[in-house]
Amino acid sequence: MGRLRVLGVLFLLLIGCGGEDTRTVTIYCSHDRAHSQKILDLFERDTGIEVKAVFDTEATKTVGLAQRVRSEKARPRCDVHWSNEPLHAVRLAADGFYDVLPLGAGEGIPAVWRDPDRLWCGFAGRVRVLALAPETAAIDSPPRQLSDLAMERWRGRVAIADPRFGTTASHMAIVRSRIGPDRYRQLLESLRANDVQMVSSNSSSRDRVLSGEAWIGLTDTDDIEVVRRRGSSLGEEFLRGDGVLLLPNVIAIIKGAPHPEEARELAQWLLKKEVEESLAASSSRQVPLRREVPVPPTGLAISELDPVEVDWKDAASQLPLAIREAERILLDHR
Amino acid sequence: MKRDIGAFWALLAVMIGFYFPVISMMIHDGLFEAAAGDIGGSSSSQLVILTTVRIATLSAILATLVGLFDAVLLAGTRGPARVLIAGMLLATFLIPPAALASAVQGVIGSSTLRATIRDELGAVCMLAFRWAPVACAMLLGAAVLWPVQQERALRGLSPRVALFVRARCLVPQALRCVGLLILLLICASEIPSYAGVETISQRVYARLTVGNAAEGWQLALGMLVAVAPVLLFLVWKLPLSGRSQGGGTVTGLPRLRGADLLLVIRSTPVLALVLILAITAWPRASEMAVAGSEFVDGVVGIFQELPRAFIASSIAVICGWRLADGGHRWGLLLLCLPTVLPGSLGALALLHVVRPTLPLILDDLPILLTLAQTCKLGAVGAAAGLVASRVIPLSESNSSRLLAPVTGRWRVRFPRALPVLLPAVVIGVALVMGEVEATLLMAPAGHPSPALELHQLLHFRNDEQAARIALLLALVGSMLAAIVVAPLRRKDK
Repeated sequence: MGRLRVLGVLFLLLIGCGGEDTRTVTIYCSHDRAHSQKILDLFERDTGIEVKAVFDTEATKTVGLAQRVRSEKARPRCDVHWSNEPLHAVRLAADGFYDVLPLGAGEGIPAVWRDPDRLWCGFAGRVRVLALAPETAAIDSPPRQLSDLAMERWRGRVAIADPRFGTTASHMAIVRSRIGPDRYRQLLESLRANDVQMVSSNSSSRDRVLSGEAWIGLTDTDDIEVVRRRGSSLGEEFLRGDGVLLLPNVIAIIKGAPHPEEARELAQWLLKKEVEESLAASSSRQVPLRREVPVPPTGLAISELDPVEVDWKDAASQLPLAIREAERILLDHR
Repeated sequence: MKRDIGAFWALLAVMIGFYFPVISMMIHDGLFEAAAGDIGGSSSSQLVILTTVRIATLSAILATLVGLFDAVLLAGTRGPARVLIAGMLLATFLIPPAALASAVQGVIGSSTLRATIRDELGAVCMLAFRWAPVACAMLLGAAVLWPVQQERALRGLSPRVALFVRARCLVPQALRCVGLLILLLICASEIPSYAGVETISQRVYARLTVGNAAEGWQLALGMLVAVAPVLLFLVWKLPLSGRSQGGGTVTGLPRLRGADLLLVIRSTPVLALVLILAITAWPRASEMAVAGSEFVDGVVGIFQELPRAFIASSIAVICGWRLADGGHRWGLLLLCLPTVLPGSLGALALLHVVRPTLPLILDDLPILLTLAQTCKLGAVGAAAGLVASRVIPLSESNSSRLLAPVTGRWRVRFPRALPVLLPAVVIGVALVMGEVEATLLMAPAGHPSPALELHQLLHFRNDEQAARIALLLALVGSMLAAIVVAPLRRKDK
């Protein structure tokens, strides 16, 4: 009898846990927690909607949460997907995981950064960049394009993140889409021949430069800015020879989301000008996609960068092959 | 038949949490449409398997050698501050791998670990450094459980000869220890990735996420084939039965200055690591308030996660003991297998197959995450169960079997096995607290995870807070170990 009572109380507690008086929304966010959490807190304060966030790790950046969205297809528990790069989002959109964004969401963001069917919308991006070790030849005459990293003078001095994950994977796919498969493979072969150091993530690439093990690290602008604000003096160089590559964050609503109304509110809120402004001023130093959004003096303005135009759908379709080739050439033959 | 059915519940967790979803996913992803010759993937993938097996084997051997050295000195001599030294040695295992690798590389990465030395050798050294305390704990446990007569005879020998004899007596246990560590290290990915080495876990994950999923499964099966001999050795080569707990006291143990000096030398790198973390963790005066609030958040997260880690580890260990106690070798083999495969593989399968069948109300609870981590600890449970079921003297074990099965098992043999099972639970807790792969894919929104938190902090070079959390985890783990192991300690009477 005693046991039955305990079981009864436990059952009631379990049922009690299910009641939700407050409005909630779940977001899967691959943008760095230190920056995105503040923004999500602001949304909570503005709307009273509680945000439950899931973040991922640097080493499996973007891929982890994109895969989680796929794995939950039968019964999504995510409402809004905030990807920190566009290609996985484009693939998820193509595979039918996203719902249409509300009308007017991301107003003012140029069409080149949005899906024509309103399945995703980009906002505030970061730039692919070379981190340069201070007091080395890399600062005096930095490489200006990816192929320069294969020059003899940089032999064994360049660090690149695992090309299968995060923005490095996207970078590889975009390069393949732009220069074609043959030249892409040649580029990878030349990098391998020049003994590039393969590391686990963009921040590890930056850390190799910080520690002096490498002189040049291929990474993102936000990875450099966070350590600069902590007192490190890393140099940076955009790959202007290839065209500056800007990878925007992306917002999408999950099809069949458990809280569709709240998801629409959050998506619309995140795509506001003020969020871009806040990200531009943060230590992630994001680049607002709207030209009219003010940028602090130390920030990066899109008008100064003039980023290259990318065919997102083509680049996304190249992603598996680009990754496979990079794995075969850069990782398997070490 | 009835006996086998009675033991089936011990496999229930691993059946629901691993075999059912994984086999369903294999069929779904078209594994069985591939030719049998494709198992193990292409030649480049086979190279990754080979690298993984090589790193795991070398690390396991090195960790066991260091652990054997520690265990012989700790079990065979007496001296000052032995408990403190043993506790300090444990720190390298209790500090999560990301924090350990980051601290080690931060200190010597830029000058010492160059090119090829940095890669595989670096990974092997760091893995051995982290896992040596586990080998030491296992061998120390084996030494404590020697029959009283054997222990007395050892104490009658000259001190130095006795140390060599002790080492030789521990060799069979050391071999089993190597086997268990290989199984546990085969999926290690964090430390190798810090050293710039790709292991099978990353390759399988890459295949299952962007790429041909069937290839990911082929690789996983290839991995299983590669470690099958170790699995069979562990499960079929049972330790000798009829041991009794008689180590008892330190009276009669020799006092060797050389042993004290060796232990001090052995403790130096661990002490250096702890000091580096402690110095890094100490906040500047201007950051005291922020550091304090971050620290409180970290403490809350760790203590929220601790009970769940304890549940996951306990289930795995109890299941392992139940199967070992009943002599179910095939059951033990089934329990061990998930340990060998990457955590993301089982987690993805659980999310695809099991989660949609669960009630919506359970989505906010970390039930599936706990299940996935329980399955991952299968080898720890099986090894603990095998050892625990053999430490009871044969006469006592046979007598208990004359009682009703449930009474004999749970009222007599289970309490006698606790001295082995409880330390195994602590090892499991430490592994769950540092686990990343399944947590990333399965943790409900807002669920605290010290391991993920550490990754975020290290990404932002917030090394101070990362060091605080790492030290706190080591402290909590040590306290847990002390509580659990205190009843087993030798006492002077």
